[in-house]
Amino acid sequence: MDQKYAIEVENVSMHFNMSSEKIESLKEYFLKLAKGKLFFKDFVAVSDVSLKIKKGEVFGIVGTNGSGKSTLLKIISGILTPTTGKVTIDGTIAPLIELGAGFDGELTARENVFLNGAVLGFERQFLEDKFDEIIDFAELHDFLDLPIKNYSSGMVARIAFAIATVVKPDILIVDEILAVGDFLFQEKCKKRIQSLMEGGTTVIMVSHSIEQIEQMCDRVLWIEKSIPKMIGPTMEVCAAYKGLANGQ
Amino acid sequence: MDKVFKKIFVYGSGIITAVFVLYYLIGRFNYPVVDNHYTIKALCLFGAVLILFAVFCLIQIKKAKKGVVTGFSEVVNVFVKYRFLLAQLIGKEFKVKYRRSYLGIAWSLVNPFLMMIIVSAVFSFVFRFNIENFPAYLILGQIMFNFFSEATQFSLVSVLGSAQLIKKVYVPKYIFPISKTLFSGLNFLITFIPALAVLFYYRIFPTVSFLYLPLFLLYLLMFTLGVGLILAAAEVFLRDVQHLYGVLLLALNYVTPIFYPADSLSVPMQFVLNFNPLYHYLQYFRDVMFYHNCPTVEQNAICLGLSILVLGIGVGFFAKKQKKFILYI
Repeated sequence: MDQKYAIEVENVSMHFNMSSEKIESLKEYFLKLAKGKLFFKDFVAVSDVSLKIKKGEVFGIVGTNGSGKSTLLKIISGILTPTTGKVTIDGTIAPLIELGAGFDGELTARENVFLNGAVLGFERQFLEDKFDEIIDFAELHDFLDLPIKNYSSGMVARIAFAIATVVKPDILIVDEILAVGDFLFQEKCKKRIQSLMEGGTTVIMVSHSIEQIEQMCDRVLWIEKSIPKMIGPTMEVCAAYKGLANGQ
Repeated sequence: MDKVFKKIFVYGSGIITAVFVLYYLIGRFNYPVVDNHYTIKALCLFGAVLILFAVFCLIQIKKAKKGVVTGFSEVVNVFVKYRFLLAQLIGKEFKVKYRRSYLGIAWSLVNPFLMMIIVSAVFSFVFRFNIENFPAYLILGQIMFNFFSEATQFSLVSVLGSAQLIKKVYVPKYIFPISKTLFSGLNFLITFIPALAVLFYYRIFPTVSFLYLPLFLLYLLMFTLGVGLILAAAEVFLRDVQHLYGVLLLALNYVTPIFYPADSLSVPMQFVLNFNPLYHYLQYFRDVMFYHNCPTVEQNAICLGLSILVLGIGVGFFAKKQKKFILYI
């Protein structure tokens, strides 16, 4: 792999099977199977996407709802396996796709920091060293030993964000997560992401806020109804994308 | 990854040889005259295991060099790269299970004891079997079966229950059934304390046959994990599995000689018993702990063979199905 690129996506497609007719019973299933009439409607979520993202680049993905942006991010972070094509990653990934993966409501915040940290691939020693830093960032000193099921959703988001960004990852994947917490905490999150970007982290972000994309990204992919429409410098792609609103 | 498998190959064959020599000597010491073919049989088993292991490692190394991720390489990864997460998941089970109960972990000690008292009361006063030291006979069967049923039932729902995690980050999905099985395994070890207490009460003390216990635990753990993996993968696509398995477990509970002696069954039933894997494991367990017989080479071959077979099928089946999990959970 070329050392210059953090992420290489080659001809990736993702198909989902949707059964087109309802099969009521096992008997019917086998009858159809025997006759070779078992049809599935093929739903294409992402079709033939190829990208190369350089190290340190901030890359944006835009597109209307249901265009396959999140599916593409999930393929890149290894959560989904593409139907065809190949993804090559160089470096560690911090997926901020949804926060708080692996939190257990019965456990306290303290225990959840370790559990969630382990899910993200951190070592015990590292988490012990960084524990105070995480709690400081989340500002949850008084509630450390409370089961997390009693937390408000904003509080959960705070602690989850703090854990996910405690390390400087090589690749940061951000999917619409800047909408958590109160406005003070949102500002704090933005600052943290910006400082990560300045530190040379490759960032892929999805956002419906076109201003945010214009501010932050170097290059943008526009994906529409699963098909990559345009890829290039931010301003060009964003201008074309905004053209959608004016009926092109 | 190929380096890890090379390491496994080198250390693994060393360990297999050492274990063989150790148990060969223990067995030799115990069957001086009875079994003339002991040495030949033992060597055959050893050779078969070693060849199988070598072939397995070579295939894995070859695939790893090509960059192919196999089911087994992911399982190995769970214990190497994801060790900390595995420990956290097991720790979580303990914390959640005993949170807000006064006796806490002591329940694992008290529970089998109470169950044993109830069942042995039923079978001492209501039905009668001619078994000496019946409570000791019973508790061994119970703790083994409880381990198997708990571990497999937890594994069964483990992948579905971790849907939130699987949808959000990449973790090897094997980690869920593995952590549940290991958690139940630790619980099983704790229940050895009440079981040993009952054995000592009936003046059944450890002899040389106890040395086979680690071997037994390894066999049973492999077998249980294999079954758990199959169930966990099947449950994702077919939710009926959970209900069906509950019934199957009940049937299994009765066709395993937990609270009755195997020879109390009719001859055809005894033949059927041979097809119940748990029967072989339980027989091994009781030979080691209760009857003070060193298990024969045949017993080792059956139990080990079953373990390898079922674990192989489990890992393979899971590997084949796991890519589609996310579409069904």
